[in-house]
Formats: sequence, structure tokens, C-alpha cells
Amino acid sequence: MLRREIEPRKHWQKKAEEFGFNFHTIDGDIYWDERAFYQFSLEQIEQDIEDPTAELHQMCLKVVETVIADDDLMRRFCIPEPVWPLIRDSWQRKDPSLYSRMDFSYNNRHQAKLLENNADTPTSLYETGFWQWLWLEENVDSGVLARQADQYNSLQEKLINRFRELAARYPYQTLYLACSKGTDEDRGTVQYIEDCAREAGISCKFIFIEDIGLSEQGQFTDLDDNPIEWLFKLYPWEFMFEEGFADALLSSNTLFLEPPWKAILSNKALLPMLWRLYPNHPNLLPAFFEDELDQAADFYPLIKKPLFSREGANITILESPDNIVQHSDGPYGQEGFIYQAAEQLPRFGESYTLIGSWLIDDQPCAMSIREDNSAITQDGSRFLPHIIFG
Amino acid sequence: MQKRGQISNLSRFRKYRVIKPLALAISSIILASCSSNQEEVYVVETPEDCTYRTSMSYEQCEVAYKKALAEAERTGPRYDSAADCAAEFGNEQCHQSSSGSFFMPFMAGWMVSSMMNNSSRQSMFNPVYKPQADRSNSFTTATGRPVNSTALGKFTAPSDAVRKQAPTANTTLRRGGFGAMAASKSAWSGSSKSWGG
Repeated sequence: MLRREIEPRKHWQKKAEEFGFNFHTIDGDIYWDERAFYQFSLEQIEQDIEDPTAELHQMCLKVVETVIADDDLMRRFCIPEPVWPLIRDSWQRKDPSLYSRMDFSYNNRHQAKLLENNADTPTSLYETGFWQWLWLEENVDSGVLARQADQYNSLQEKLINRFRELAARYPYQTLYLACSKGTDEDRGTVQYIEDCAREAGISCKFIFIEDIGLSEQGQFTDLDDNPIEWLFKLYPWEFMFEEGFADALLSSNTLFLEPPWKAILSNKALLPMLWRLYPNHPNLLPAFFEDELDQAADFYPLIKKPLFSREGANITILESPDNIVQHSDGPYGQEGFIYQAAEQLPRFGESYTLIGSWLIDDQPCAMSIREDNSAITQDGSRFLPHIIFG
Repeated sequence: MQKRGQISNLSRFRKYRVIKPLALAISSIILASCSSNQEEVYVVETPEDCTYRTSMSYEQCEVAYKKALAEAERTGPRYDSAADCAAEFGNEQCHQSSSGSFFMPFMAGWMVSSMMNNSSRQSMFNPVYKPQADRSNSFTTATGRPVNSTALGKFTAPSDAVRKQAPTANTTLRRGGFGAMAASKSAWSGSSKSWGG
């Protein structure tokens, strides 16, 4: 695993405009960063990233099965009791999932360690599946990178194929796609998913999550009162469980992407559950619930994470039980915390580097790289492309 | 083995040169051509008529009739007043819904696919209606899709209108039941961040 500097493509901003990639710069800071790329060997990709991702996903499904069968665990995951039937039914019906992203700490000297699983609302999908693909294509075409340079990235192909399977399973259904108002990044991600679904022949309609209506028949409706029978929502389940229409989730016949059972996986309580079921697994970090901290004495420093935190908010690093070294602010944490052994992210120059490993349903398919100047990767971190070479 | 997948249709992902209304026009042409997937059907009015016109038995036709009536109750056009309904479907052509809260036209008949085996329990028998304004030899579905006659006493209808259940008719009571958490948490961060991760 190497970091290499490279000349940015001339006119890449123009290309970005042409393809509607309008969040490459966020609040004036670089987000898409092609001043460098990461280089991996095929062996590193297959043995260290791809295979562990497939195995971890199966372990995660085992956690879902275990938690769903146990009321005490459902409570530990802070899932409101009224929506338990929604989650259990979706699991028993095997409601299909679309995608996930696991975050790893990895460098070639250590095995990849799972930091968390973004299984409900993963973003940076477009940058991974399309934009870094195009970056390699153009750099190979212009002779800057060797023709045999490859990339761990069949995301878009697999995503479209997954939509083809879903189209066959739900013929004639219109897929509604929703995200929250006022975020270019989420709107861009949802647009990409819509493009892929259309490519698979599915008819699609966009609606903002705030505009969804509820009919007297208990169905969710669009702005023309048409029922929303199939909805992709880039909006967290744990929010929806607490909001005004939470009760209606049970009465509506809407089929959701991601399905409600994914709420178990996007929850940080997944991490101590994995450690309980698979202690000392080489790709796991020791992790504990708050009332298990007596078992954690040997594993300091610990990272304290809220169950529902997003984009690195409300993270605390504990050197010892009462010595806080670093803390990030945020609006999360009322729901409780978990503790995970700290794994220093590998450092390349000034940057800490985080690996995102993508799945379409249960198929590992792609990798994304984020760099941050801080050891806690946050929303403002940069996205860098990668290649496989040698 | 190559780890990089194929991207075959770059133009789908190109946004800049596509002017919005044009894109809409194109997609509606595509939609129209997709939905022009027509299918031959019988339109029957009663179980007797059904037995006469189709290969189904009287018992099967009775089951189909009941299914169609239930579908009509669930999916039929709804009006707040009898007068509104009569204006569209004619006098004496409307009735009060079983819940009593609105008025609906009587179903004029129901569709039986001429291509499918209609004896399975999953078979669809979607109702059709006869708005006053329509020409004599045609019907419409609950959602307003055309069902037109062909020369041979049969009709053609969009395939999905024949084979798929129509959506439940809806009246939206309220909106804004989702999104409050994002609003309250973005007040904290002050900027428009992703709600993904």
C-alpha cells in the first residue's frame, strides 16, 4: 500500500460539471483530491480487503439474527419497542438489501480492522463507483498511468445488476428515492442511485423526505397523492423511528431500501455484539457496552462512540478510564455509548488514511479511500482514488 | 482477474449538456413507449357474460366477479359529493362507498386477460369504468388508463393495468412527518452536512 503523488487531470473540474458532480469542494475545502492516489497489490486487495469483507458481512448477518430474536438486545440497540415488528418482519420476509460500506483501518503490515459498518445510509457511493473509475480511465487513456493499472471497483456494474434482480422481483413498481432537503452531497448520491436504477429499466421518482405525505389509508404518498410503494431513503432509520410518521411505518405496505433490519447493522452496538459472538477475530477490534467496561482494562486507549453517531461526531478518545485525549463535538449521544479499542489509522505524510470497503447486497465489490488531517475521520475528510498495480 | 467492472453507458451519467425540459420530454417518450406494452383482454360485466365470453367456468367467473368488486371498492375513483361523481360518470351511475365517506362510480365491468390462464388464485381481475365523456366502445381503469376495443369484440389495455393491482386510492392527510431529526441536528452543525455516513 503506497501513496503516490500525481498531476491532477487538466480540466477535471469541467468534467465534474459535465457529469453533475457538484460536491467535489465542500465549504471551500477540497473533498475530491486527485493530487495523489493509493496503490495496492492484487494480493492485498483480495486477501486483506475483499475476503475479510465477505466474511465480516456474514458475521454481521449472524448478529442481526441474534439481536432480532432477543428483546433485551433490541433494547440495548436502543430500537424503540413500537418498531420491533417492522424490523422483525422485514428480516423474516428477507427484504432485499442494496448496499453497505465497512470502514477499515488497514496498512500492509496489519490486518484490516473493522471500525464500523455503514449499512443503512452509506455515502461517497458516486465518488467510488463512478468518479474514481473515470479518473483511472482518463489517466490510462492519456498515458499517465500504465494500461495494466486496475482498480478494485465493480460497484456500478454490480449495483445495476442488483437493480435488475429487484426489477424482476417487483415488476411494474415505481421506485421513489428520497433524501433530506439542503444537502448537495445526499442529493447527488440519490441521483446516482436513480441513474443506476433507470439503467436497469426501473421507473423512478424523486421526493424530499420532508415532502412525503400520509394518507387516510395509512399509505405514504407523493406530492400528487400517489402511494409510495417502494422507497429508497438516504435517511437514517433511527431518525425515522423517532419522527412523526413512525407509527405509519407499520401500517404502510411500503417496501424500503435499505430494509428496516439494516438498522441493527448501522448501529454502533453492532461492534460489541460482533466481539461477543466472534471474540479475537483477526479483523475485529475489542469492543464493549458501557456495563462491560470491567473487561476492557487491557485494551486502553479506547474510543467512546455514540450508538447513532454519524461522520465522526461525538467521538472521545480515552487514554485511561479518566484521561480524555481528544474529543469531537456533535449532536449525538443521548442514546448511550459503546467503547472500542483504539486502532491508530495508518499515517501517510500528514494524513490519516481510512479504507471504505463496499458491498452490493452480500458481494464485496469496491474500495474507497479517505484522508483526514485528524485521527478522527469526519465529514470534511478528502476522498482519494486508488489503483491496483503489481 | 480484472477487479474493475464495466461502465457501458456513460451518457446516462452526463448531466451538463442535457437541458432539463428536454430530458423530461425524452423520459416521458420512453415511459410512454414502455407503457404502450398492450395486451388483449375481454371486458365482461357479469359472471354469466364472463362464462359466455371466456374459457372460464361459472364458478371461476363468480370468484373473479367478487374479486373485481372488492378491487373496485379499494381502488375506484372517489368523489366528495354524488354530484361530482355524476358529472363524470352520469346520473344513477354512482354509489356511496361502504365507509360512507365518499361517492364512487359503479364498475362497468372487469378485465380478463385473453393470454393468461386465469384460474390461479393470483389472477388479477381489475375493474373498468365508463366516463360519460369517453367514446362508446372504450373503458378506463381506476387510474385512468385507456381500455379500447379492437374489431373482434375484444379490447386492448396496458399490460401492467391488466396484471398489476392498482394502488389504493389515497387522500393525503398530512405531510412533514419525516425530516424533523435532520432539521434539529443541522441546527447544531450550522451547515448542510450529509445524513449518510
